[in-house]
Amino acid sequence: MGTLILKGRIFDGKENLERGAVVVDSEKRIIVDAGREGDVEEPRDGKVITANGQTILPGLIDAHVHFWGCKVYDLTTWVTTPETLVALRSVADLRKLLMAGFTSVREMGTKGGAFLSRAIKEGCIDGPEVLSCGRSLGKTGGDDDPTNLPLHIAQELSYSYFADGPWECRGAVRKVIRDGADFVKVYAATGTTPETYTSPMYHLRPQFSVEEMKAIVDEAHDSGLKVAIHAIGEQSVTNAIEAGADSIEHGMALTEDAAREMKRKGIFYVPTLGVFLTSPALRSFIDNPNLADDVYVRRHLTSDMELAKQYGLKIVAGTDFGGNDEQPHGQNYIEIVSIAKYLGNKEALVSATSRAAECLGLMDNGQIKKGFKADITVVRGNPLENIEALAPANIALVLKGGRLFTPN
Amino acid sequence: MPTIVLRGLIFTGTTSIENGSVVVDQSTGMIVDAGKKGDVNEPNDSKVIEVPGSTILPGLIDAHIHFFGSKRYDLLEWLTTPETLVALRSVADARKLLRAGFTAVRDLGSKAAPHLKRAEAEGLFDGPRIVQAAKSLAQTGGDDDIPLLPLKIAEELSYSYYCDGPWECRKAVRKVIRDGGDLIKVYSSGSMAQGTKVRRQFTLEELEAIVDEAGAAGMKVASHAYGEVALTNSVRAGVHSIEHGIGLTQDIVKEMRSQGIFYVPTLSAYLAAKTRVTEERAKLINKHLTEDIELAKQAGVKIVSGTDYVGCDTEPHGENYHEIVNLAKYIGNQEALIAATSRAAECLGLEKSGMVKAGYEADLVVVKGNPMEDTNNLAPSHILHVIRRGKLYTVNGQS
Repeated sequence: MGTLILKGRIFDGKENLERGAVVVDSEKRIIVDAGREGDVEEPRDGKVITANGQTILPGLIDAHVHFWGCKVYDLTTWVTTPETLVALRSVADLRKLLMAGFTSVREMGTKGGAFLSRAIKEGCIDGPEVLSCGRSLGKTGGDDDPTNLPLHIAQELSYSYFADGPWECRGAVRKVIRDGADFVKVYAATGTTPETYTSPMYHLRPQFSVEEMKAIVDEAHDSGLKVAIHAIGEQSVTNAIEAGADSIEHGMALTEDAAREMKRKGIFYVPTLGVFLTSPALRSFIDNPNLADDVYVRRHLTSDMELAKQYGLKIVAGTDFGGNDEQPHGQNYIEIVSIAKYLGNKEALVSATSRAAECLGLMDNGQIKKGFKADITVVRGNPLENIEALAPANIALVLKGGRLFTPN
Repeated sequence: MPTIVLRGLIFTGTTSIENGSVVVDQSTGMIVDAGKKGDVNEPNDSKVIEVPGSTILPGLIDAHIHFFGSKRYDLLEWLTTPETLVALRSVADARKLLRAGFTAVRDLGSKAAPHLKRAEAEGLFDGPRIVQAAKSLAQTGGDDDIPLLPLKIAEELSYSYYCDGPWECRKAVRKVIRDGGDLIKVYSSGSMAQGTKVRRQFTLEELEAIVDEAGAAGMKVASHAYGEVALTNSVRAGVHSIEHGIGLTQDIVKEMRSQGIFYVPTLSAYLAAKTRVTEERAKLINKHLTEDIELAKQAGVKIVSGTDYVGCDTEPHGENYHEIVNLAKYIGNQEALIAATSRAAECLGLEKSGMVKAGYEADLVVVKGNPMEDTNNLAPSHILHVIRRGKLYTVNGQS
């Protein structure tokens, strides 16, 4: 296809540029030049696309997804759907994500997730780049252990490796690396699946000792992998910070001390507002103030976000959507809209582009910048003024590695 | 009712109609009417597709493929590629098949097939309808058992269930049914992947048990058979189709004819450049390409088009029209087209498919040129439009 030149308003991942130009080499799959129109050298043979009334953005990133390949939000269904069928159903979800302007996602625990990542790289299916943790790491009887099943069956069916003790934890890290993982995902709290928080037996508890999580972080970092830790509750968040997490996922019940420490250590914060706003079970805590805020949903949507903003935490957009009916892939822009309510439109866009790329360790992605990967989304309207411009119906075109897709 | 009208020369699946017209209801995915243009009631608001010099055919059918999702023609790679990765790679293969004009395929043994069938039926990706045998049945040490691996590992990785004795065979049939297979595929002999000699696998008694158990569940049996013993056993056991069928005799074809057994000679698999074959094998293949097909033709056996392509680099999905071209050399263009449309649909048990006819499913293909004159007009570069489930795919040319 050769060279493409996009002209129009650019949000480059950090700043706005009213009259900009981007030159894309489709074969090298990179941005050759970008900047103010007139400053950018436009090759004569380039095909020009003028984005009138539109905005050129870095391809969007969702830093927290799953591919359950199921209609329902239900742990037993997730673990008992065959991996191959999950993967095939995810083919349609990946396509929807791409057509919604998402060019990278971080997959936080799915059987077969590493194969999705590989199939995208091989080019046999269309979708965003998938950074996969392979399987997540949980403890025996942990959050992702369907305890209605005998343990050995639960382990075989789970999307987590169950590990107990620092050495099993190191072994589990080695297993996900064997499976082709790009990073490590750890569950540092129990009681966060629908089965548990709607159960009369409900307990929210930290899981994994700090010693175990330190072993995980050490083993992962020595292998060049980052660690994302699911943390809910004050103790769980504190443990995750102490263990050396690179990002804290959900991060419910922040304290001033925790926020200060996250800021000091530069830990990313992925509050996954999307899942709390779309799940009826979780929404009930918002809609009904008389319910005890056991999972800290109300606290999360108020003081957690205020603290995160006040301490200048590196907030990243991640939905925790899994492709089920309530959290359908393709609607992932909801997270950016939700973050914008706290941080404003510009910061929300940063959280889903340049900062998300930084969180994922994609050093040449998330910005419209010379030498960066040609992952670009063009939307109708201006999301800096109206964040709803990111809705799927407004996606005009998507470039993934320089390849052009026209969704609408 | 959104409708599409296709106009032009029609090959109906059995015969041809000049200046024909086909009306497709896109919402039901059915053919509403088909015939001579003047006899067909074309709704006014239809989208009309009329390409001069093109031919409208039933969607093509490949009655013998595998979705192996592997790069090479190599048994070890087939067995050791993870099932999930095989499935994801097969999504691309399914898309290529559809865009090459194939609207139905029969997968005769692969681990991912039941899931592929289900996902395609759920409409999650674009591809042909998949009729499939799930895992095949083979004896221990059989066709796809790699002896270099310990038996239990070979079996766990295999795309076959290994079974020995009539009761294990019956159990294996039940496993395939549990997995969601549509039919049973049995290896009644070894194949080119094995040593020089062609030997029967499974005894007649075992094959009879398989056919009986399958029949009780309303399922048909496709038998991979090389050599007179395996062929005779298969025919006696009452299989529904003979796959490959190398080494036919007068007696065997007479029996096949009288029992109505389908014959899928998979000529393309032997013409594809793949592994070296011994001199003895080369002789068998040569005989297959000449005498076998001639015997079947003369006896009036129901020949069906099937490539045995697996989707590797030497047998890529999307190039499956080669079988029709190869068959045409022996049985003529019209018969070869029948073998890949109406008769293939009959073999696959698709009662309302394989014909351009009112009340049939709108699985259709429009090609540039006339394949009744030259079957090379079915090559992917000639495919203009494909309709599957009433959905129009424009492959080459304008919509």
